[in-house]
Amino acid sequence: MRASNAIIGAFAAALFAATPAAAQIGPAPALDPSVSLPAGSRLHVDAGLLAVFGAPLASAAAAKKDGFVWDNRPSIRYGDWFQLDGKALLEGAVESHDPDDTGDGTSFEWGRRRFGVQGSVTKYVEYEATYGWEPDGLWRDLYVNVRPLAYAQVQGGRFKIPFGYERLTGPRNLDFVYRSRVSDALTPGRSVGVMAHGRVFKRALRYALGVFEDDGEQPPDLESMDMVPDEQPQEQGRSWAARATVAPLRLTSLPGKYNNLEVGGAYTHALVPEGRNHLQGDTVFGGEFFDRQYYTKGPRTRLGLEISWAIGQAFLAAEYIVSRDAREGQGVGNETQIDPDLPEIEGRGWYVAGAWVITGENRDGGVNPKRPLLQGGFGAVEVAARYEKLSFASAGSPAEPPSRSPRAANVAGNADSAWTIGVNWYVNRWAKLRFNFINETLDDPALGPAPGASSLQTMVTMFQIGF
Amino acid sequence: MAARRLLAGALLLAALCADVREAAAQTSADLFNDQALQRIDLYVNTRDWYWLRALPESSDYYPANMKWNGTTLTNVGIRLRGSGSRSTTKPALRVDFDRYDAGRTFLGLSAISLRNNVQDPSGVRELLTMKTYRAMGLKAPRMAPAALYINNAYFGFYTLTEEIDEAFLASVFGESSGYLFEYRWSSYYYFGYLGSALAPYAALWAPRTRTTESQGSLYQPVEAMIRSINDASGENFVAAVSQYTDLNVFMRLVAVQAAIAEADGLLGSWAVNNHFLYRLNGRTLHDFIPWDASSSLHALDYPLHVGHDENVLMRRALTVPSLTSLYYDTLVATANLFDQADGAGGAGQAAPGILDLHVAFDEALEEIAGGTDDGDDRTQRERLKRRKRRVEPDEDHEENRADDAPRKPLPRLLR
Repeated sequence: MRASNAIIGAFAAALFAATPAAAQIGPAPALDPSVSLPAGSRLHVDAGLLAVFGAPLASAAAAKKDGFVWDNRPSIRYGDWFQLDGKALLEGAVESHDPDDTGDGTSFEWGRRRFGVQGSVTKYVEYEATYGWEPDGLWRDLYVNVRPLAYAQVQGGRFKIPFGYERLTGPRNLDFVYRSRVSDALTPGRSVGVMAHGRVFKRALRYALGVFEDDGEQPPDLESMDMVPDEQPQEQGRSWAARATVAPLRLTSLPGKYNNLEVGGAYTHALVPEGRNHLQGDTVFGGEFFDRQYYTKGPRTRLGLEISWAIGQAFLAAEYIVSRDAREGQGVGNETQIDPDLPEIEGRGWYVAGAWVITGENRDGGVNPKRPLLQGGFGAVEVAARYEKLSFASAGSPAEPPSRSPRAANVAGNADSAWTIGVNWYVNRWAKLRFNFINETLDDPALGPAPGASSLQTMVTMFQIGF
Repeated sequence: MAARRLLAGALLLAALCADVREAAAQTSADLFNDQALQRIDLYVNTRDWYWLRALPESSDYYPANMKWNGTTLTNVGIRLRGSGSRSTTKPALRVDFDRYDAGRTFLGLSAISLRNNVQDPSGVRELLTMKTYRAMGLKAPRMAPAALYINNAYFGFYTLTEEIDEAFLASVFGESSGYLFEYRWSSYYYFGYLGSALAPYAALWAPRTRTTESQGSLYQPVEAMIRSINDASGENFVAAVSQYTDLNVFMRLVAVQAAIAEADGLLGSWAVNNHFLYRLNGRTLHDFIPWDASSSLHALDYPLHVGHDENVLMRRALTVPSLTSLYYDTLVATANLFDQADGAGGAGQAAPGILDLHVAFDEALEEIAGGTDDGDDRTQRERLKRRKRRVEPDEDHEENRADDAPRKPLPRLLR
């Protein structure tokens, strides 16, 4: 398994070697000023957060030209009045598992295939439209942001609900092939809504407060319940989210590459209709370790805490998220009560991750190789590691023994603990190769995808080309 | 004989009703104590209870809590059961203790049935019949009268029934690793030889244990048993057939069935029916276990010799003098059992509770059944048809139990 990964990884690497030359059809890439911005700036976050934390940025040289320019990406610009940047992202991964219970061996899968545009109209309006040609192909981001003032902006359309540091980090700036289990399972992702946001005190304080039509794209589709007579149809209610981050060191005299420590918190509230609709836990290995077995109804809440810090070549991040799905009226009753409420289903998870760019580049704002491959160097190499845990169980301490009954007061919980080690090779500004080895351990393997296996291992090598 | 049957039934019923009390100990014997009216409480979410009753064709499971004798068992699975007895007004239920928690048992049982007695207006035929089997030393499931409460409201008079499963096998055979089959009635069958192919036997006897084994492992001994029943020479009949079934047990069983006027047993009006077959692991000997006696105590003048000529096994067994004697001796012994019941019973002491409740409920059922075909019901049915099957599928395929067999035509004797 490992040998085949290595071979395929080397093959992909060979392909990458040709990429820079092809990519540099336009003017020679100038250093993108955004890379010197602190964590959370444009290159560090994706579209949803972009509008929250960053202004459209362009190199000074390119900004002076009108018409079509190449500024690390294709762009059309007319002074400060109009800017349209093309963006694209292509990913593919070679993956193998142990145990190989499907017998597939090593397999290749396409990842994100996204194309779109982003830019601005005057300095007051920003926009983005990105489409994903993926199995569930749909518009990823489609929004307009109006920013009369940096501290008072309004964004409307489809974009990420402001919750979860890693969720809001764009795929080009992730340190691992896969997001953490807690981000994958407990964050809401994109939805259609309106959000007020802004930044104050030299970006030392940022906030976002939004209302959305649903609980986001990340949770699995809702299961509908068949109505009994005289029952009104239940629909998913609107959700709202709030997030605030503080970067206290920005108010000090520390150099920019050290002062981007950021801590924050976020909260969401959504109304989920009756059904087996709680959040579920998936393994990296493939398959669920906590599936949607239990009936829920009522509010779903999330609370998230986060911290991130890029310190020179190093980067540290950690998150802690708790979600709760209510089960109003889902019980089976007793001597005194019919259809009682059941304890909420609680998802709880955290991760601690770190990365180190061994070739010396700064992590702040993302890794930009000083000496790209075929331009006098080898690119940049980074090592990364993450430890994480995600668990699901009934909230509180129900007296009865745990059960798989869909109306159990004490659900049969499970937890997935995983550690990941990775190597990231930044071939040049546009291309990178990531290798991850992930080892997962389930508290109750019987409820997992490979019931006989105490640990699940995944090796994955992913290439990514994007601008 | 007929008068004795009637009297015995009445007296046993009286004895049954005379001691309505709450059991104190927590054993399966207490649960199936037929001298007490067992109160069974089921707590079911009202949505689940609605759909359980709204979908008569479905055997989907729904979660529930069950309370008996002060003990609450959480997270059991309940579903509709039965075919001829299948009713959404008064649903017959199967309660699985291990549906959501593999291997869980309650008082050593993995499941129980709550029979709705809609095919047994007296509500005691099966109970008396199974009790008679056991009194005669035959292996039969235990039963007890039960008052079923749903969400704290009285719902109906039921018969609590022991399931024929591994737990039952372990309790009566001392092991449960053998091959258990349930007979599935599809047409009149009299133990005639069906040929060397195993499929016809598989169609008649559905495996309930070791279900994943090959057809050869499952049915080769069954085919050999039927072949020997049909093909063994007269002088070799007992020796040949005794390799595959205990003829003495068979004769005693059919004799008790004749005494109790079982019209739908091994020799009843619908030919072979209503039994399980169990073959001990590593052996070829098969045991017959009676099941579903809702047609017992069938009629005062029900003939004693129904099926004797048609049924190959019975016809040939009756050519053996010792077996014939055993048959008639058992018949008399069963009648004597009735006499003993007569002597011991508490005639005139019948507590009104059980029957009154049951009769009142059945009268209500009849009223409900009398005028159901109105527009609202049609609308409801259409709506139900559109409902997706959503709840867990019945992995055990329990809907194929013998009492789920196709509805039978009128027996030849009654046509």
